[in-house]
Amino acid sequence: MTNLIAAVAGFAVLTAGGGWALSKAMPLEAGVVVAYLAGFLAFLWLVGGGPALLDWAHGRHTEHSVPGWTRFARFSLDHKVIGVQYLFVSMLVLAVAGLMALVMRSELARPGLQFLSNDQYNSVMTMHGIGMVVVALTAIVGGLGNYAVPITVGARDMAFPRLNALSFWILPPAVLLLLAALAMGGMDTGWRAYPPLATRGGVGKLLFLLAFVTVGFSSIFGGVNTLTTVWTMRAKGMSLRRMPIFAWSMLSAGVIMVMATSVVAASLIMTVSDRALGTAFFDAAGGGTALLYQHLFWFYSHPAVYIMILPAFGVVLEVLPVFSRKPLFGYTLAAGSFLGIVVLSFLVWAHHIFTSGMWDFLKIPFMVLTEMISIPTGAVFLCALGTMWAGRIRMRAPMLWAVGFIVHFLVGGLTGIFLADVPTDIHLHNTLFVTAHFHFTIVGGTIFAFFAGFYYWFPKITGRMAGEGLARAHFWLFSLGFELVFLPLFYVGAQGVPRHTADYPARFAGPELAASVGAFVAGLATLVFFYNVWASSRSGAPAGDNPWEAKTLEWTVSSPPPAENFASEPEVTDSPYGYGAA
Amino acid sequence: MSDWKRAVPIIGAMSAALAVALTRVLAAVHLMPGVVAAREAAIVDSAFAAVLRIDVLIFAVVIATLAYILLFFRAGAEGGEGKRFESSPGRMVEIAWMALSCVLTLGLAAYGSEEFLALRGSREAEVDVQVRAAQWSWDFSYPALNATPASLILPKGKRARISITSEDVLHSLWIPAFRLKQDALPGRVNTLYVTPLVTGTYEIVCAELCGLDHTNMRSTVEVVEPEEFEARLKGETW
Ligand SMILES: [Cu+2]
Repeated sequence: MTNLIAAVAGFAVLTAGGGWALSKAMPLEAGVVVAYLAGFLAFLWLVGGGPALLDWAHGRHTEHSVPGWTRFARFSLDHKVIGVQYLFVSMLVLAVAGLMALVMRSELARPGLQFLSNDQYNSVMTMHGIGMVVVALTAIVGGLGNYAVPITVGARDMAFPRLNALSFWILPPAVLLLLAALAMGGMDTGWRAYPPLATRGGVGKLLFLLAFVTVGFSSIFGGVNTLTTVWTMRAKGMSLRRMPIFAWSMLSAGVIMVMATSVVAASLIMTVSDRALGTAFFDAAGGGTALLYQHLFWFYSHPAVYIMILPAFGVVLEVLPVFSRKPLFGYTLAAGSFLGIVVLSFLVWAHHIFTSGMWDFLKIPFMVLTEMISIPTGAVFLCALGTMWAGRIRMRAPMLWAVGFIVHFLVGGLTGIFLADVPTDIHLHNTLFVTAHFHFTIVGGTIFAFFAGFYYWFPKITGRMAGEGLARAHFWLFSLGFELVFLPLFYVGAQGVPRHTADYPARFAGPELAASVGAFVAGLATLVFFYNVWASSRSGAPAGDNPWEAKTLEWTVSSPPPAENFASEPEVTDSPYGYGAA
Repeated sequence: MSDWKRAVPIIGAMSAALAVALTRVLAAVHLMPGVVAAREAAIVDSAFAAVLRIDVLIFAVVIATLAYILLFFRAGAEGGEGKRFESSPGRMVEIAWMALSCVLTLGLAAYGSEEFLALRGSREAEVDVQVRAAQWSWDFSYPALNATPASLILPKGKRARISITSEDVLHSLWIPAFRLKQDALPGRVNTLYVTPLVTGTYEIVCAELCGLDHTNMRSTVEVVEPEEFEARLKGETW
């Protein structure tokens, strides 16, 4: 615990104090960048990265994990500890960004400005956006992925435990920096941070950009680690065709994390450079162009939605066979679809900028390629329904959330067609229709799948069952609240209300109020969830090794699994989905 | 596969009922704006209606199938295991599904391309307007007519070319009644072509987050009879 306190203190002193001191000697923003780099490195060193680095340099062994709950506050190299750390931080960010959603929906409950100024609204909205992007990128990939992937493929840990710890501990400075950004004048650009708006205005924007770049590095390191682990560390006998589908989805997401994230990092660093060093990449007056940023940003950020959704597909397809008591239907088709999505995800970015003034005839190939993504995505739906068909379905909490995923993600996918289609997108682009659509994909997809996976692996992680009644209440309240928020916004957006606005014409008071009520219902559901996690991890019924009668490797070891996961090296002789009777 | 004999009619009936009910609800709600004030708006609305029909159909079939599964394939208290497919009918289902989704997607893309070309229309125009966006207002000027009215004024039935640029950050000129939107970028001129068809006054909304007063960056477009157009512009010049 002391290491964490020292790290936060060191970070705050160096970043804030250093920034102030350097600003006397050089331009403010250049000084802040240098001070942040120092504070960032100090944080990593003090939190435990320093000793681990020295151990490595001297060829000494670093303890992977220590007993007791304080291991969660340390620079632990154990993937199970790091998984829980990711889960904790992503749920903390979910709570904070969720509160910001409630602030926004309270402001929007009635027409006119209630208690926020336009500027405050824009900042709260931006922080909600980037916070939820962090949640969607880390909850499944960092949390469930770190915990489950090595065990499901039969490995003792991730391929690079130090890199794994590093990719987690990179996140807290980014979160601290985002909170500081909010205090330093905030960020009014939305999480996309389009210049020129992002290159104008106060130092809060610089902090936001630095935090975003930092998160990007975490993602790149995580991707490298996942790829290497799944590719090289599988148990004896686990051929690619015997790999659990969740590992396939993480492998696919890993490719995108490594290949795409560097591009957004570059575009953000170019923006920082425009601000702090006076370059003009995106400044028309200096010969640059603002449109370049949009291309670079979406070249990452469209694939990024597949970093969020591919692991969600993996979780759902992992859960469905267990609770349908059937083999996964179309295993090869599912894995192939994931890889198809990886390839296509790099070829569709311009559908975000059909109205930007890009060359007209380029819109047609981008529309066709975008719509082609529905082919592999549709295949995933087939695999889901085919798995359930003629099963003996056990409607436990993980299954409930997986079914919720199918329904809500379906709406998200189908409403996406309007935004791939150029004629309808030109009207709907940047409206609340888009807001509603992507919440149906990211919440309806990633978050529903996350909860399916969370309730599925909760007994493995804690050794106790999550309260089933509370999990059901969580599901029904959350689904209802979520639908109540976003179904009306499809209408409001198509009718003519743009997104990113603190107010709307009075004639939309009814649907907007419904959306605000829905947000509080979803918030209540989330409280039920947090209570369930707290209560069940202390006093839930003991789970045993395999409460769901599942067949993947993590269910062959104790709950929670022992240090280094397996007493002896596991050997795989068959598909992981040998459920059902002939 | 005796399951199928029972399943197909039930799923078919449920899909049809769901599709009809959804179509009724969506017709009553009417998602798109009531005003169709330009040639382009009618094209966008027909594209929207076409995609909506396909969406309703897919949604109804998937949800009906899911409902059937949840009704008929639940494990009772005794639990038990599901029935494995033999692999060959399973493979046939996969191939049929993929073929169908390829056909649907390519059909949709072909239709979308055609509608897009129709929407784009001719690059010839009878009226030229220049729009300058700046935080947080719109300026309109008609160089040929030497006029700078406070709002956008367009003659009914004549093709207009609107050249859009920005003085500062990104903005986006959106006219929901025309279903058209075009971003304004500094250092760049984007053009938007439109043929208004219904006289009246419609909203102009900024659709790209542009800072503090983005929410209130609004103006209006007025579509007037062609014979009134020039007189109307003279009256507005300041
Ligand atoms: Cu604007």
